[in-house]
Amino acid sequence: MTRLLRPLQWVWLLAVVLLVWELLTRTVAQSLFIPPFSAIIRTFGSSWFAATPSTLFLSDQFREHVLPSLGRIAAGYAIATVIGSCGGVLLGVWRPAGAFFNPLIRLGMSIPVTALLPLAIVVFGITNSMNIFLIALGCLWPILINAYDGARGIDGTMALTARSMQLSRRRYFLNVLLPGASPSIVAGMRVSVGTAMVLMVVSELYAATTGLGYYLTQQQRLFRFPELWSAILLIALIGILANAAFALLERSALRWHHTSRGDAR
Amino acid sequence: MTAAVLEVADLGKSYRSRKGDVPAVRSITFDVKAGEFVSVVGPSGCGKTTLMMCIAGLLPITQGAVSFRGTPLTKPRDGVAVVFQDYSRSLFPWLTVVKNVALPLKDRKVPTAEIRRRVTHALEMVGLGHAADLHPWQLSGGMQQRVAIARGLVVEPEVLIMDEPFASVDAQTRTSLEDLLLRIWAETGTTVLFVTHDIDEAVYLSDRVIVLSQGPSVVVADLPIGLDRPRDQVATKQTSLFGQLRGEVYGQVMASRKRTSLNGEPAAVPR
Repeated sequence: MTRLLRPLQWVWLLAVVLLVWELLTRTVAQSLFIPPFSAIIRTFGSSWFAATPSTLFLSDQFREHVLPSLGRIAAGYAIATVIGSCGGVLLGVWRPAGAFFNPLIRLGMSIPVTALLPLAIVVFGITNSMNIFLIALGCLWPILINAYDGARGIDGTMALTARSMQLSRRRYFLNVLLPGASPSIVAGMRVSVGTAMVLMVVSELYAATTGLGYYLTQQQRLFRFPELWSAILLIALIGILANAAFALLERSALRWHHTSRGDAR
Repeated sequence: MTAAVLEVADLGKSYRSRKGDVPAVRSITFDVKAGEFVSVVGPSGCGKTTLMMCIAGLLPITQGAVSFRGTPLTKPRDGVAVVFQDYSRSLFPWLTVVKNVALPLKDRKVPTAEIRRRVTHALEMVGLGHAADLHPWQLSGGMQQRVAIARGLVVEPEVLIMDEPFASVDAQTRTSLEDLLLRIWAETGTTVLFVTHDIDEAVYLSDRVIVLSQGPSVVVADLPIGLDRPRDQVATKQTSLFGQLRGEVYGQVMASRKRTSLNGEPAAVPR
């Protein structure tokens, strides 16, 4: 297959599904709830974009509902990453602490974060902090557990080498443990991207006055289904973009890992 | 007579297990004088690596003492550097060559300009000045071990402990690394304690060869190697003295192997 045609083999199924969707919803399966895909695309354009260069071509609606959601995800995810990777690595190298906190971590992991939503609403009220707290908590566990495993799996020779160099604790942590555990940490972070998206939407469905989740419930109540679908499409696209950005970052930051193990680049 | 820089007195090491203590090193005593090149050989599994880790202060000893310049050595300290056998796990793959070599200096209050000078010098000594900005995994095995040697040299150690450093490279690379090491040893005047299972290598490199018994090990021989320096891979190895010394070390290693039978019980062997 030539280089130009190659991407086609990955998208043809998607194209067929969308085409069937379009045909069915225009002919035999007309429904208020499921509009034709072309209508969704049109609404998508008009809902989220505007001909105003000063706002980077983003509509007011985009700034009112998408930016707050992205902000909450970024904040929650960042908190989870910092606490999860540092805490996990520390627990991994400091055996007594690891054993001490293990039951607590197991318990924390086993509670679905969504079950804490009603409680969080009461404690935090309907605030940004509430959404951020839930996102951070949900993302924390996979990152923490993976960082813990990564730190425990540090090669014995590497640890001995570091000891023979008499590195300070701080330098050992920053230059040996953290990078050594980073392939595991990144694996946990990758899982957490999806979790962050889910918790963003769920927490906003019930308790927010802005954001994509809030926008979804509003459109549903107003029976504006093309708008509802265009928001779902946007969430999906954000997820795809986040994953792609993540893969790119991973490839450059962990090149030493993939190449030194002889994996595909 | 130069004073001993490293003294190992009745060193013993046992590992704790459920069935009680399992001795790995029974009792080792020897001195290393300043500037000497001393090799330790012994049958495989005799606890050579354990012994080196104990001497370097990386493993706690269970008996006896190690002293460095007259003071007890119980944990890693300045003046002693270690080069490990497995360079692929001893170099940090996330750091470039230059950062790997500079790492041991970072916590020693060495000024930045001085770090740069010493790292450049160490890399030039091992002939890797051009590879500074590459990562270890972009280098061949022999080059990686040269980086590890440069990292050992950069702290300007009085004693360089090398644990089978050339065991995982091919034969040709090995001979060139041996000559590189001899040149560096002559240039820097550092003391080298070198572990190997290769008898030719031990004889070719050393001033003295210490032969260990099968584990739990004791010293069975301490042979001075009176070969002229500088040594040459062809000329030195062709001398009759080389052959004689090699035979002597080989005999000692074989005899020490026979002294313990396969089931671990000491067997009576006429000497």
